[in-house]
Amino acid sequence: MNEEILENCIKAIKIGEKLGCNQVECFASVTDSINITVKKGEIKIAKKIVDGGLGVRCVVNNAIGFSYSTNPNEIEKCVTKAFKQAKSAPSDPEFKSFAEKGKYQHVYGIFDENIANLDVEEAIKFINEVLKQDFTLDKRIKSINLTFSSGRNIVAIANSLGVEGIDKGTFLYFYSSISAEENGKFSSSDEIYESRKIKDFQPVEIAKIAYEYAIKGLNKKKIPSAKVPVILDPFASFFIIGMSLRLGLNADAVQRKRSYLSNQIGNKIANEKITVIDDGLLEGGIGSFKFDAEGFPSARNIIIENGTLKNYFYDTYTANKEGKSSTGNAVRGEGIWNFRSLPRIDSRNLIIKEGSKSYKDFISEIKKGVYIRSTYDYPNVVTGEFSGMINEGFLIEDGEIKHALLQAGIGLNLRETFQKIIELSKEIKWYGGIALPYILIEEANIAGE
Amino acid sequence: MDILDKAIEYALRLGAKFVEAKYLKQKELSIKYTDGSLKSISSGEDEGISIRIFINGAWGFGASNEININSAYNLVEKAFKIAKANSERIKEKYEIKHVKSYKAKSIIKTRINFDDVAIEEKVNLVKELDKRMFNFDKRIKSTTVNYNENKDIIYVKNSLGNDVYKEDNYLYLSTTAYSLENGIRGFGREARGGVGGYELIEEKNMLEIGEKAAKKAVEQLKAKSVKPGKYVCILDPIITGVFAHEGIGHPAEADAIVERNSVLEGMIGKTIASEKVTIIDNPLIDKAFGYYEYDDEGFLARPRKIIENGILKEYLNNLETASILNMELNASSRAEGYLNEPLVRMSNIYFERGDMSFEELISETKFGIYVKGFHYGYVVPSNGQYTFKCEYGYLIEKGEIKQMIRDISLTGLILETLKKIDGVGKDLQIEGVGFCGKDGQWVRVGDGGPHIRVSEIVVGGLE
Repeated sequence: MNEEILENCIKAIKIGEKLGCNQVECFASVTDSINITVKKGEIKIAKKIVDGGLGVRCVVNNAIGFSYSTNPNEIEKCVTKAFKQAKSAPSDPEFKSFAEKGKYQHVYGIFDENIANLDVEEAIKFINEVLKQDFTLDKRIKSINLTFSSGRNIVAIANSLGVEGIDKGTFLYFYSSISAEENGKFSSSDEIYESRKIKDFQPVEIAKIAYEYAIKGLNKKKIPSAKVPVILDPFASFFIIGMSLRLGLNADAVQRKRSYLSNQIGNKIANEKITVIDDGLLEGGIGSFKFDAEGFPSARNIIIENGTLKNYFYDTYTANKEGKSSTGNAVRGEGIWNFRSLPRIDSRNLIIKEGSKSYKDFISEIKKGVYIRSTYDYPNVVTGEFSGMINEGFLIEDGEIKHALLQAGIGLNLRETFQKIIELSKEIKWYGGIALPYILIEEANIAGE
Repeated sequence: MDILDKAIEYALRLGAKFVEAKYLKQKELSIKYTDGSLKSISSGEDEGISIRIFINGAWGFGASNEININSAYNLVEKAFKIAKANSERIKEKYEIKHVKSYKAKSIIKTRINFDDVAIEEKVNLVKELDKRMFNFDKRIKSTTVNYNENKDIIYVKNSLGNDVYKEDNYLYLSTTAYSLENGIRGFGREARGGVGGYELIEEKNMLEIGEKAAKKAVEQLKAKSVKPGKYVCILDPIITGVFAHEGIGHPAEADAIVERNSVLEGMIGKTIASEKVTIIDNPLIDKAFGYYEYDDEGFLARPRKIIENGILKEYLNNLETASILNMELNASSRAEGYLNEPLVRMSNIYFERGDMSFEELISETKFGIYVKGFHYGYVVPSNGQYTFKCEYGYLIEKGEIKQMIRDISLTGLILETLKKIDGVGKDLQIEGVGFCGKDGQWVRVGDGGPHIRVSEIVVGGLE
């Protein structure tokens, strides 16, 4: 392991203390990655990238300065910049302290030697496995685009309150996008897979899902506007329910009254079948490390219990504002943690608890309804509304999935919708660090013709 | 940059058909001010090299923050090995086009250097903007101001003979205001930006974005949801710009054509829009946020007429797509940083001005909506189906602007909507600024246009 990145952090702390910082914190990361892009069925480019550096936060009289650098020989320059920025900044009366020292628990299943040692040639074998499948010869396919990305990510944190930690993880990301054309009609679909380990990675199965939906989408028809039961595929659930929770439960948005879930602790905000947990220690979790991006110990937190809101996502800053303890929800950057970013709040591994029935039963019990596979719209978490186009959706009739929907939309009030979630499936799929069941909404407005 | 030359030489010796070696140093400073207090002052320095190697249709790429000759050789070997192995598998082989090469130094000048302005003054600027939002109206409950300045040094060399040194300076400032009244919430966002130095704050009158964001947030509180249906729509210059960017710009990026993922495939020379429509992507607009003189492959930029009087004229091409499609290279390559390979990108895209005044556009409209401000949007590239979420708007009845409306989303098919543009204003503005994301890379872009009128768009609301 690159132990020196923790040593660099400790060095930065000492420099900061000597300069006269009241508090200093340093976060460092090194990411070694492989990235392969397939466009139109051929490998277009393969990349091998090393990205490393550190980011320092200095506090002087309650004012914070942050600076990052990719140059390991310029730690002193970097700390000095952060220090000077802090000195010229007005103090933030709401800032209390960086994370206090805590006890870390080891997280299992987040580092896979097979991924860490994977070379480009081996990665290409996975891709070629997909490209030699019979379905790729289907004349209706216009384009097959794949992205394979894997690597290892080492993260270290230290601060002047005694926090010191280093951890490592591996990642594998596979994105498959297939577009099809028949008689002048177009359709496309995507599927995404992410994991910390290579075992269970089945690229062919992932690509096949995108292929099957792309083909099904060729037969699109308009439907009249209606108020009907709706089943959300986990892929659609990510955008509609997952993002609504992830953004709406952020304590910073909540405290600044920018969230539709502000002031709701203890209230029944959802149907009692809904339980949501955020777990930074989840075995094999894509968002797991033993600490969060400020060095606070990762934890498992109950967020919604049988419909009742129990907690928000906090970092130390927002927690200190309320005299609470952090929930370990500081992250850095989008996705893989990166030294260039200040800590920000996000879920770690967000789990919407599964139900007991199969989603297939939901479908078979619906006389008339809609199945939504994907939308690219985002919820408005200020107003608590979601409205968007149904990118891939299907009509359900007499318990069966029928044709795809042409130009249909959906509008939801999120608070009402949470109450109307009447079933969650026993099947779970992970997208973007969120475990999502299939979700049955009692009824929703579908805008059609 | 001796190591770039040595790396190119070494790659050619190994058997590369084309090599590009780059050095980048990017410096940034950002200040975030929220709800009356400073949230952070952040600065950063990125420095690294990258090597891109081409062999018979396959590309290999390597990047590292270690800047020395051994690291450069190591990257060459890695990128070469990858490209070599892939070139043996690839079915559609092609050669890199022989094009004119450039040796140049291109510096975006600043009247006031960022480094010559004290941090305290920049902090006062964001503080002032924050104050302007809160002072605008009591119903403003929360605010954010973001200040961002950047200085990038890019050195790009390639085996065709390009040898270009660039210094980019640019600034971006945004404000967001959140309002609340009787349980109803709203928010307004404004952004300004440009290439140049700190003088842009004054030149582009950036202080006014405080009140502007606050005004939007407050006005929305009294707006009603729009009734879904088909409407005559008049789009403001911001939405017109987004329409040009998302609706035409992305499908006109030639990598989408190569990947067979664009509605504009096979349409060059065909009429795809009303004859009133001319759309240009121009990297050379002085001070515009998407400005560049040389692209990130080191080729000299020029304006690109994508649509002229309704006819599709050209795609945006870089070295790769121009070679595959055998089209003219028009310097459309951009990369976010040293960790990224260049992709086909836009610069400043806009609808060309027409001959109507804004008053004429409104007064000729019996019943319709005037749509303002852009929230977010996307286009499905393969069929051109678009969704644009707009901040707010007004109903137009009998040629007059009436009730304010919100929750407006515009949907339709790009190629149908382009034919329905029946009025183009003369009030051209290229003030849209933002960072466009593609394959995980973000680059600064500008967009704009005049007010335009579309005879029919499907408007969705919340109902």
